[in-house]
Amino acid sequence: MGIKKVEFNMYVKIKLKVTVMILLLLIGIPFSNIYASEQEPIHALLLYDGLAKGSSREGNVETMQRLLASYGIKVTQSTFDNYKKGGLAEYNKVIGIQNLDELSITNEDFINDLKIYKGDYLHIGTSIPSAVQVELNMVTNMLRDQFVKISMDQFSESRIHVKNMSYIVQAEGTFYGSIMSGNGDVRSPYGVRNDHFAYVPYYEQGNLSELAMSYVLKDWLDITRQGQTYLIFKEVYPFSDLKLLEKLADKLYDAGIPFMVSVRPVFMNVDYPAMHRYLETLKYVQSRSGSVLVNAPVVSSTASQDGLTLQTQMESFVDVLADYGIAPLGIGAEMYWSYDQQYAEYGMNFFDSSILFPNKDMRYWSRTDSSQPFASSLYSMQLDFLQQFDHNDTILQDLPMDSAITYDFSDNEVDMSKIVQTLNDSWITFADYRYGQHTVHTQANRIVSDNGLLTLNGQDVDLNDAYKNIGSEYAYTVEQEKSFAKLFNIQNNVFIVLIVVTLLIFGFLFIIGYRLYIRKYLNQRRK
Amino acid sequence: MSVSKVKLYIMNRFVLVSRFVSPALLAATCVLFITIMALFIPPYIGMADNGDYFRILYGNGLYFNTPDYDSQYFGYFIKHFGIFQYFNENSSDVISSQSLFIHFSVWMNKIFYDQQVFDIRFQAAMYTLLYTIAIYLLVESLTWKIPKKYGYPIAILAVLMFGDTGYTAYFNSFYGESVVIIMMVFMLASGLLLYRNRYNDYVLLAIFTLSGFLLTTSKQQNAPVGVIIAFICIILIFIRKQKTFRILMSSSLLILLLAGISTYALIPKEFVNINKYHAMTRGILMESKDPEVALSAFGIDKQYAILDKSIYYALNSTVDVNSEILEKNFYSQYGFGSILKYYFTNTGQAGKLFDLAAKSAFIIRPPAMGNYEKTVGHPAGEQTTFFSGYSLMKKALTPRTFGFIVIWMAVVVGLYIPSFIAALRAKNIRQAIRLPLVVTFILFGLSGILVSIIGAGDADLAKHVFLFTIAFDLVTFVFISDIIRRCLLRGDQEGGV
Repeated sequence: MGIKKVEFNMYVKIKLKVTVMILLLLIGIPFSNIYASEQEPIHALLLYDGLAKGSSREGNVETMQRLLASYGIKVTQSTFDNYKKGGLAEYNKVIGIQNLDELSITNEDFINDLKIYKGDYLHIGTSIPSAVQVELNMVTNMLRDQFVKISMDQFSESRIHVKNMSYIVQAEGTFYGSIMSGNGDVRSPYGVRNDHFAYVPYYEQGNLSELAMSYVLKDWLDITRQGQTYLIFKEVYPFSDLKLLEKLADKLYDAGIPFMVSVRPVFMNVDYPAMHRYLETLKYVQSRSGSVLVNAPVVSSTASQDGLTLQTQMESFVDVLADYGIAPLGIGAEMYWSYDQQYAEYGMNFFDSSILFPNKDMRYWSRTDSSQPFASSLYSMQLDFLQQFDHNDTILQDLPMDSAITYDFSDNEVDMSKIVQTLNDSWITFADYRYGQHTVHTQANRIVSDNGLLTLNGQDVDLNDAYKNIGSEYAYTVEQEKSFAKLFNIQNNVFIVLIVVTLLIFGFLFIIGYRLYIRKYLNQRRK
Repeated sequence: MSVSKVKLYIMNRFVLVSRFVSPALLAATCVLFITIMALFIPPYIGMADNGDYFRILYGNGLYFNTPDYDSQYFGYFIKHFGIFQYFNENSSDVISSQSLFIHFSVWMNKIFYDQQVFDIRFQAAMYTLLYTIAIYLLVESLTWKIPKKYGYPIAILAVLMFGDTGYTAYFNSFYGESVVIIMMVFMLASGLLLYRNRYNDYVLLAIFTLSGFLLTTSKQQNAPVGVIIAFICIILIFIRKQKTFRILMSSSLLILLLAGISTYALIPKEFVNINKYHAMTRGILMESKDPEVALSAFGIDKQYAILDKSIYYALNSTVDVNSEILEKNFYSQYGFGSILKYYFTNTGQAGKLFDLAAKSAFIIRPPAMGNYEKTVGHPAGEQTTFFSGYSLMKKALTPRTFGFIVIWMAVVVGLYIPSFIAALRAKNIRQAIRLPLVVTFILFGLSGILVSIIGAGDADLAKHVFLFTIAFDLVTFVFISDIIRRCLLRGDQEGGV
């Protein structure tokens, strides 16, 4: 009876869904949007023992967070110590990072929960839980104070110094890359994975392990889509050298390199000629295969922050861009913004696409352990980072995740020319951001990019609008209308004349009086 | 009892009281009593943090230990702070004489109260004591050897003006203004006591130098104070003929000059940037008819016009005030000198800013900060009216324009000139120092306004022009007292003895 009821309910649900879909199709909402809104991001739990500050492993938790974001994963982070019983059951994907060699995982709740855990678990570093060792039938050993070579896909890097590193002696599953000790004694896979469990012995920021991890992660997360590489310039201000930015856009356009700019938002004086020049340049950039992203504002203090202020300001800037025919497609921000409830809710909510830069100057407002996921998020890295690795092919293959080669825009023309030359020589195929699906919506505007087409409230964005030279004429101060201005002016002059005359007469009388006074004494003395 | 008998009785009592209670003692006691009532008896009066405490607090071994501290900014006065128990990694952001007072009060706090929690009232107690002494000396300098019928009104005037909680509430705060108030009073009092030839000259010289030094180094914007004293008070060297005195006095002035220069030189870069930012965005650009033209006068890209009227403290902004782009293309293009030159060539703009400054120059208590603790139950930002008659009256009645300041200066200086000339003619230098002292204090006030505008535009004017506020009150007090005691035009007979 019960089973029949469930079947009936399911039948009704499916029927309802089909009906709604047909209706939506009829009224013209793109199918992709329906799909996007229904697809829930994967929610992963990221556990770590510590941030390893002051050691070579410092920063690897943050890098992992950025990597997971680039795969569109919603992350909840916690330390092993703070783990609460039953927590694993809430997630299908759990990652554990053990950074401290001398300490093992002591949280019994975690150890016991892992034994009965049905989802996927990836362990990184030392202190490998017995469940992982058993599942992968894995034996490991330690390498101490040695130089190793790591290879992954087309990349390899020699002379990576490791202090204490586990390596896989024996395991069952799919192997990824390789680790080779400097003297050639040890040769082991970089990582191993079976259906549920995976293990990577070494993960640090700044060397090939940072990149190698993305290969293991991609398969472990069941991501099938190949990543693409983009190019982005940040630090674009309204008072940057706008002419140089236009020149840069021209050069990249001529070289066939599509690019993005993460532009600083402006919240005041948006009607000034300076702002119009800024907008005109961004529009020009857009016409030269440039995509515009809104960079997060600088937050000076969170003491008296008000969410609505940030929301209104961000919304107004997006609207200013849209009203000028510029289609912003995402937000560029330091990664910690996505781990802050207020920034995520009031500053990032307009965008379904982002690029998360490494944290530089963290000013949390309302820190949270769970991240804001994005349908599209790029992994920011510098070209120097990639170029430090040896690679087999001349052409650099796309990385597993969507990534963005990131540069700071500077006012130095020589530097910018060098960058263009380097990019030309780099053999990287850069993708056009506009070919991805990105949506930005405010109350007044809905900006969509899909398959290279930019639309603003359903209308195609005109990319060939003529460039306008903006002059300097502008009424900065509104002269207040004065009543009887002429009359008061005359009155002022009359008073000035009267006062001057009075002073002169007063001075004259004073001199006469003084002379009379002196004369009186002189006369007395004479007498 | 007939009327004449009552009169006689009162007169007798008055004579009896005046034998034991001098006007100076009366004024000091009243100020002490009122300040104790305000600061040490519930509801305690103090000042809310406007975000500035952080700089001075953490560098001096204290920290915010109130859980919801952030929500009480501007709103409520907080009296308890934590004392760092272990190594304090916060290097002192601000080099200020205020640190000496904080360290001393923390030390007292540790002895008498608690090792871990600092009660700001220990600091208030120390300031109150110093202030009482300063008020005593000030009133003594004006009432010594003058008829009691003149002395007591002067004492009452002093209580009304300087017992005002607009001033004394600062003692329950970490603002540098507390030091400014006390040291200004000490400086003027010691200067006037030298003029009146009351007390030992060497002791007064020490008080004058020390208070001038602490005043100059209390806040970065007080850097010109040392320079002003050093130049205007050269005349003090000649009040005695002894070589020792002259050498000591010259050395004191030199120390004050160096203190002024070093205070300016030691301003942390971050403050330079914040103030430099405001000097342009809240000063030059704000009052300019065409910000792009104004920028071109400094050789700055006209695109920076977009920063017109912006403030560093804006919650969300386009650019970080310490960013490389501003360092390279904005701050490097102007400085104190070029801004001063700009205002000289654009007097209309300068006039507008002076008027703007004058609007805040007569407000003793900055309107932004609350005076009560949260537990008292008053709304956030509420200010006390307890013994605030003078500050309220001043705010309501003074014509708040720069024109008024000019007239005030002209009247004060003009009316002190006759006695100055007379003293010079009589070759009585001691009698001549009153005018330079008054001019010194007027210049303190003007430097307060000028430095605020050139240094930070109209940003935070109510607090920045505090130096003028106190200088105006001190000079006006001396001026009115001299009218009361009939010494305005002819000077004092006691001087130069």
